Amino acid sequence: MNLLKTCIESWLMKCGQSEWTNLRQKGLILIPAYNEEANLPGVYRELLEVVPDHDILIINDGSGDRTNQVARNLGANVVSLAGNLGYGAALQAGFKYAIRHDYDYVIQFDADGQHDPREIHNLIGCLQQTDADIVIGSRYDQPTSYRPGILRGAGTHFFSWLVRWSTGYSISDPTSGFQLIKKRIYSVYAKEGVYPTEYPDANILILMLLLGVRIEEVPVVMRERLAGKGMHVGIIRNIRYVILMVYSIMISMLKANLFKRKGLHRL
Amino acid sequence: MSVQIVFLFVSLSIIVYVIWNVSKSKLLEAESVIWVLGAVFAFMLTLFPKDLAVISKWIGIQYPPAAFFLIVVVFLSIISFRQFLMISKLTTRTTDLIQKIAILENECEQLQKHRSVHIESLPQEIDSK
Repeated sequence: MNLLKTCIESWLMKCGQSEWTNLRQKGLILIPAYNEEANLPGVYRELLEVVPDHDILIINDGSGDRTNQVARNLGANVVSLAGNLGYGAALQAGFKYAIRHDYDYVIQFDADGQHDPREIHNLIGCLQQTDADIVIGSRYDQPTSYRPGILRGAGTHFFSWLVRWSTGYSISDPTSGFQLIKKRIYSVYAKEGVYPTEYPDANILILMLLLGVRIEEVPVVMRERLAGKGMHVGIIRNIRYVILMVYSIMISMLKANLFKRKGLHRL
Repeated sequence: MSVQIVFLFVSLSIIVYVIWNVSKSKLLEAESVIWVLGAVFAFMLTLFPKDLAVISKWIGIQYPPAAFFLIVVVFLSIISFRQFLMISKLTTRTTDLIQKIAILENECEQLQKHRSVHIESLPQEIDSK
């Protein structure tokens, strides 16, 4: 009888504890910035205003302009890479930081002002409702004001089709940089040999889907880029991107088979 | 005959040069082995040129020099691929290092800020006492 009592007591304590930790989940907003001195102040101030309960980390990816100085003048928390490693590696530095400081989830946020900070609440809402591991802010999940160029739209549809073909799941916007990622997943991303260091888009999502990770999408409204140039500019750059991405997706499918035997937690 | 002497000299000097570099720690031991083996192979071939004909017949090539070129191309391809492997490994390590340095630098800054705040607050504490 005593044993039963202690069992129930410990169970109740556990329940209380998990609810208690659920209430104060710690979130980190990651902003990889490469030559974004013009856009960064506005994006940072808006984030501070809209989501004051989240920590913000700016990752300066070896920018050639004054991004580092501008970020520091804002009083932001900055991790400054010594060289330009690429978008994926900059994000990965953020994941490593998040592991070190024990965050429950991270939110990838673009420095160019395309993402609306108010949508962060929608992503977190989806996380709480669905118990997903990754929540993607999608531009195409339902008709929004975002009107991409013809080629850009075709590219996204192509990769969305590739995701459906290789995994059976449908993701409408696999190239979105607006994502919420739980600790279980971002600690896998932080390891070498899993996360693509240049373009982490459909390839990593396909790998995760094949490994049984739950991905949800939330429709978001995208704004126009405030100033400067994006990553996907120029014909040769885009052709290179498509070739590399298709190749990377094929490798991801192979990797998924190798990783399945090991198990996600042991990667 | 003079060609043979030149080849002997070249292969010998390659062996000596590679080993000399290893002893001066300019070249990793494990990486130098393949070069020494290649040079020893060339050395043996110049000493016993008839063996090349045996090898080429064994592979199924009529013209022995063609077999020689094939061996050289395969050898160089292996070395080149090994270099690509090394470059990839080094790139991964450099990426990891740059990320770690940046994170530690950030942590240093935070600690320094914390410390300077702490030091500034010290005299006030003493005054209040």
